[in-house]
Amino acid sequence: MQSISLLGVGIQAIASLVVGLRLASLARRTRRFPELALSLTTLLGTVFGYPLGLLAIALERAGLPGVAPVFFIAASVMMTGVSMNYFFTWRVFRQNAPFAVVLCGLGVWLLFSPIGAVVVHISRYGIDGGIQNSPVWVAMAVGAVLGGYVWTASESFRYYLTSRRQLRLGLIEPTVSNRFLLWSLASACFLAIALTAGIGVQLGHDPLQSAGFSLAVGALGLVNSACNVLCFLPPQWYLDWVSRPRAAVGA
Amino acid sequence: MSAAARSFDHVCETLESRTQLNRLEARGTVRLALKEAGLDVGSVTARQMSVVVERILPGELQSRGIDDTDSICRDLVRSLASLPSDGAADTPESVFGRLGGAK
Repeated sequence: MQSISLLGVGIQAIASLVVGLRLASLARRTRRFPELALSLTTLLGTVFGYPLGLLAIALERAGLPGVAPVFFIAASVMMTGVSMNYFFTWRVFRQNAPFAVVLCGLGVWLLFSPIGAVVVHISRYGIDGGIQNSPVWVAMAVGAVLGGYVWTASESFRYYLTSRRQLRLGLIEPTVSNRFLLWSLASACFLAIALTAGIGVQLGHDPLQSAGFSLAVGALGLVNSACNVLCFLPPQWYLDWVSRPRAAVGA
Repeated sequence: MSAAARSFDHVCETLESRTQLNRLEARGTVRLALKEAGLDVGSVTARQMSVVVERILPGELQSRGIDDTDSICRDLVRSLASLPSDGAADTPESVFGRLGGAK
């Protein structure tokens, strides 16, 4: 089971690296914020933050020093990635909505404010003990992560639904409409992974030792990778396939 | 005033002046037409508004007993084309178009 999880996470990391670099290159060319925010979200979370978190766990298991500093860097990098997701959702989907500014600010504050407290607990009690001894801080951070993915997944899905009406009038490309759905699904996969882990921990299970969790993470990681690649690096056959129904209607 | 608000206001004002609809009715009618097209008043471009005026608005006006809808809508499409450009507004559609490698 763990090999499936590793396979899913590994493929997700490689797909995120490729997609993140492609978005960074696009951001360099266009000088636009959405591309930059999305490339940082993709690269900082899965490519840099998650492996650094695993490094902190490995250091602790090996009895080596530096667990707390590495965990601090890992958490900061991951939270910066998730905060970019908040900024992306605000700037792209709700640019002029005052509530979105408040939601974004609150989300970013909740992401960063617990890091210091959790790291202090980890330096005293180790990673597992530190997390168990700071439930409020952990709940704040996990809530902010879940909130960010719920927000972006729901906004993107809402746009997908309205874009289907635009599609009938030829106001939007079928591939762009489909991209809203793919981004929504990719975000929902991250949300499901975080929810599965959160529920597992609440029930007293160690997610890393659970076969069900490993299977779920592996499968969701694969779906997330597929959605990201089809959304941001779509092969020509996929673009042709998505565009086909529209061509048939227009014929 | 944003380009989106400009095209919306332009259509509403024209309907007010050329039909018996009052300000509230004209704005409500255009809002309904935009909603049917899956568009938002705050982000609709002049090009999108032209399509709505051409394809959806005539039906909405006829259902309200307005005569000569074809002529009104034809003039509206023409006048929308002469509105200042929408510029490079970063709508979700344009952002997601770029992100997938649109030229």
